[in-house]
Amino acid sequence: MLEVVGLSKAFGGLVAVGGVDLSVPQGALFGIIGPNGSGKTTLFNMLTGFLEPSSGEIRFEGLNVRGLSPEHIVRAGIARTFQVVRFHKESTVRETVWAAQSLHLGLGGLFRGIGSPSQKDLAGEVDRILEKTWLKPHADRLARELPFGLVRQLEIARALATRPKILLMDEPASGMNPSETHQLTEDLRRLREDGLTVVLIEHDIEMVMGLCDRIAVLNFGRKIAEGTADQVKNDPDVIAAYLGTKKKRAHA
Amino acid sequence: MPPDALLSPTPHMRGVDQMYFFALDLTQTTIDGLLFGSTYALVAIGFTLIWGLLRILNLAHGVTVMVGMFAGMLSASILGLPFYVGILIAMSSGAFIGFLIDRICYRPLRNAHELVPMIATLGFWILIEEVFIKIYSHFWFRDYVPFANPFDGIGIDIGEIRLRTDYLVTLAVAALLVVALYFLIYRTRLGLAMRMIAEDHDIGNLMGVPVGKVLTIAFLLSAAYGGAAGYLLGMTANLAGPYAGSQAVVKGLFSMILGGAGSIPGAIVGGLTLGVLELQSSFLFSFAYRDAIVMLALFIVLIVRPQGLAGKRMADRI
Repeated sequence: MLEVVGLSKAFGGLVAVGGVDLSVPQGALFGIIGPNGSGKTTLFNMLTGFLEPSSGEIRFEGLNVRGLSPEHIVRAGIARTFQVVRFHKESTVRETVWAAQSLHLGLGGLFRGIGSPSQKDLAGEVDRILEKTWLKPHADRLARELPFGLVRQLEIARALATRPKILLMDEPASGMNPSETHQLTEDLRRLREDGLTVVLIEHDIEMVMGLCDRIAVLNFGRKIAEGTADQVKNDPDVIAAYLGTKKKRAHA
Repeated sequence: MPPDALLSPTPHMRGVDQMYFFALDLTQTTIDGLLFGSTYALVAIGFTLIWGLLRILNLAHGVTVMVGMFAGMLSASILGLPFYVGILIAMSSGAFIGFLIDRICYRPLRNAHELVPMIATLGFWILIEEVFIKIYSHFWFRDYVPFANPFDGIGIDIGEIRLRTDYLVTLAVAALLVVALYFLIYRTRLGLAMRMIAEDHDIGNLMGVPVGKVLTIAFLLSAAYGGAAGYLLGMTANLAGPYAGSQAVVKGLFSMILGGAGSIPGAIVGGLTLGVLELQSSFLFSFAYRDAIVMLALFIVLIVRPQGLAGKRMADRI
């Protein structure tokens, strides 16, 4: 579904991502792990049009999406969430989800009232999304009043409102306590059952190992391993990257 | 009592009558200032829309006022069209200029440093104004041409206070446009998209909001409001002049900063306050000192309330 071939990004002389190949099949729960600074977020930024790759190819459902603007990538069906949550603080939860539906409407739709009867189907979709992300009781609160865990849910809700085919999540569990993380795991499983393909970058290796059916490991911008949880866990390069050999530690 | 003392509006005279007439004039001037100030509020709203969405000071905004004023003058004085048609023509002509500003000054430069589009609007302003003055001086030989005011000389008298009809119409149009703007911003998806974009462009993109289209609409809207302000300014002054745009830039920015940059209530409060300040300083002191007194007032306001009269404090915004 999502094919990445030889994707690279260099900032001046620093190679943040060097020749990464990935293939995410339809319906997968795909994990990308790696130590700090291994290029995970840079990879995501390239996939979502926030950064122009230095070289390489990105294909989504057979279409070349490299070089498209973030807006067009969202329209193609790739949604994302951020590691450091970014949201509209002065809007309510419902408004945020409403706004994320804009792309289903033409220019004329912009001049429709919010919640006009002609948009009942969209209103129903908002309710379903809020239900799914546990935000229903908080629909009319301002986003900045939400507790942290729910802000993450708001990001997910916002992404879902764009009707994505694939959802890229940048460290969704960061800053969460174990029970919130557990809840998130359950939520992601349910999303996958609904037919969504999910790619997540994570620091929490336990979570990724328990959740994802395929895992890629990045280190210093390169993919050093890919496979199931068990394959990755026992890979000598992965162990070295995480625990560090003496030589590598001196290097770092 | 010498006869000229009766005519003088200055307060340092004895006698109840003089105080009464002075108070009356003061009230009359304040009311006129509030009514007339609504034109400044309209100009300031145009600045505020673009500033709020893009953090760009659209210096070319005065061009929309000038074009609106001359489109209005042509439709009122030359073609003899009624008021409501004239103002629609003025708004559409303004909007056309807004479209040009978007396509020339903003769109090609949106990825450049934030100062670049602002400088482009400065260039656009100077270029259009100079070209216009050349054309203007070809047809007219005075600095101003008459603007047929359909409400000239009529008004409503309430006791000794006179409400000029053209001022009332101006306020009514401004109020209608403000209400329409609030409806648009808080009740339509376009407004929702604008609010989202104002807070963060990236997230707007991320949500699939057509940011470019929404911004074009914002430019059209801002410029249409400038065009309406141009018509009303010309009508109430009974004159149209090629330098109206430059004056509008000064007055509009002044209102915006006086009221509180970046907020629509701030633009309204600033515009009305400016209207009162201008007329009062002409009345109490002299027309010659008007701009100096108004500047001094702005200076004092900004020392006491750096966020403007109706602005939020920086700390509240972050």
